[in-house]
Amino acid sequence: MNEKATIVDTKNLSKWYTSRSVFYGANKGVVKAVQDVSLSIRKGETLGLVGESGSGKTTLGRTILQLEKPTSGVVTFKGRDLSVMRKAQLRAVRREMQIVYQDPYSSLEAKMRVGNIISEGLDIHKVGTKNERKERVEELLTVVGLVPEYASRYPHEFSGGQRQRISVARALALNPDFLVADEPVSALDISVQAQIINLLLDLSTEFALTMVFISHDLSVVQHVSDRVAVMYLGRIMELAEKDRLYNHPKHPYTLALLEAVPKPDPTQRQELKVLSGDIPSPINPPSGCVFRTRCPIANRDCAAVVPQLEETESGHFVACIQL
Amino acid sequence: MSSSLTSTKENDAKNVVLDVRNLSVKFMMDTGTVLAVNDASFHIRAGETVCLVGETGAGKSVTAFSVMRLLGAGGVSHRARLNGDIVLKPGDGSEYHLLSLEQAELQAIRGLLVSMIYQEPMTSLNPVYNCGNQIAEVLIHHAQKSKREAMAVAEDVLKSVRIPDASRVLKAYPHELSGGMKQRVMIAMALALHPVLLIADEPTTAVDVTIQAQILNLFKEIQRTSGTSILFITHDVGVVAQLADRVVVMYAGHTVETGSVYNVFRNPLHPYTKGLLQSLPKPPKPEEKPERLTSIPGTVPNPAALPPGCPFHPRCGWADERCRSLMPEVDTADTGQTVMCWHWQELREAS
Repeated sequence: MNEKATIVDTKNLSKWYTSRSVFYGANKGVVKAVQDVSLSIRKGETLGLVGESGSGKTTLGRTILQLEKPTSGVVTFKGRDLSVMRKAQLRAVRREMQIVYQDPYSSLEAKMRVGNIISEGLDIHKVGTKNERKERVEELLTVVGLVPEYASRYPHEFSGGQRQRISVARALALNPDFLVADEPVSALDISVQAQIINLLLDLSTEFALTMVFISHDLSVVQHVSDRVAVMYLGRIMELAEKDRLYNHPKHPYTLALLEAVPKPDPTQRQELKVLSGDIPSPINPPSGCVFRTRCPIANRDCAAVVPQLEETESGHFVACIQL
Repeated sequence: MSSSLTSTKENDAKNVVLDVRNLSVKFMMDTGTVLAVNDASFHIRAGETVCLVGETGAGKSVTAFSVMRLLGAGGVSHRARLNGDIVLKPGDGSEYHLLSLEQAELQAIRGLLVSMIYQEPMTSLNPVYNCGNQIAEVLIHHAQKSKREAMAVAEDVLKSVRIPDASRVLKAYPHELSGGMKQRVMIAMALALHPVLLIADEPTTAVDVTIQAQILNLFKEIQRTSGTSILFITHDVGVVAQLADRVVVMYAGHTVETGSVYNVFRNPLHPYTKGLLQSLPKPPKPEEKPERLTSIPGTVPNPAALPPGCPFHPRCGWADERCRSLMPEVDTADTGQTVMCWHWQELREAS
């Protein structure tokens, strides 16, 4: 299981945004949304990406897909360097990588019929005849648990859960190998959340998908992932097989994150161990280790050295100089 | 203190602070009538925390807004029609029937006896006043304090909600504070006059999990030290398990199940409560493929077009002809749980 081929590989990937003053256009600062991320995603696995808001999860997902141009670093997809590709080449590769967005209310074009939304990718890549595409749309609607008749309806006629199913159908239309699911269940109610998680699990097996599953919900990530990466202020703090990460977390941030989740069992009430303070601004992150301002074990060295993600045990990577 | 509280909780039914009886809230929209709350009944005793859980559109916030009387005559929406009775008993022998009070009477109660924390700390503080002024306002209005006295009390209140740098926060404007800090300022404001009832409408939904843990710990401290009754609204089952003494489960505006947190989590009686608890992702066993979650089929019904009979029947595996045509009555089980389901006894025997 460990020796599977790599499908997506990032090397020192960074994405910075320059924020400009509204009045003079002068540089106000640089938001380092993603900093120095090196990650190999194996064929067929689901990699969970967790972190709090502002940790760079979404930006990382979008930068991997080249929806954001990386500031520096390299993304390779099936051995090909995406960052040097021209538009036309990139478009061809995009058939194989897709995304499901967080908000099912804004990610579907309101003026398009569901059938056209799903077949847009097929149309762009000129897949099959018109009739074949229509059949494909109907097939996809069935695959995601809807009925073919919905193809002629508009997004507003559907509930949040149904819309997210439509988003999934759109993402699957071109038979991608790689899917980024960006908080696909965060906007949904718990009872509907379970339906969409089941759908994604079934489909990832059925279509042999490699998936990056982005979420702030640790229990959802634990449920769906094979491996999990924990992000904080644009950097990966820890990366390991799911069971190792949840049962033997090493990084103090992972530990704090896991302990902060309230357990859904009234007989297990605990005073939650809390991190003091808030996430620092990404415009002016702490020197050295970005987590040190909230870290219970930080000392003077942490301010000086940027910890690198190092393999402490087989497959278990941690970025902390205190371990 | 907590042991004496428990004994009074169990023995004394007279200790009810808030009694919501058959509350119904309708919104008369141009497109038709939206039934947001339907015949909801529950109560809160002194010092008790009641969690109101349910999904989007279940009527949780509308219930809270009704208790604050932000809806109804003089409220924020002239389209709302409220029926039923909401009784506030502050414990000094007086009784307020909130739905029939005049605006002046309501203003004498809000902030003093009942106060509320809103979901969005970002938008519920006034951006043009500093935090100290906003907290002081309630003290000046109700406790006839001078500005200087009020500011001094405000600083103490900020310290009591574990704000590290209280004197600075006092002078800070909301945009200078993080989401977690703003939520603390809101809580400080709500607790300034030690109300008998604190309503918290999803106070942790908009914040990150590490900040949520800080806020939950603060609520646990309020429970231990203040004696204030809390109506805590959330859709997060983990939060309920950690905070609640009792639980009220809402679905499509109905209170479908109520009971002590231990009973509701161990032996949920309503099929919806069962489904909700089962649909939580559980830690899978090591080295195994994740199993499918038990999900509730379908979606929450549109409150403008509720199904006939039991509102849950289209999603319920136990539904029969009676469920499809007749609204279930509310039954009380031997555990003290109330449940609105025709089949709860069969269901309990089956499980």
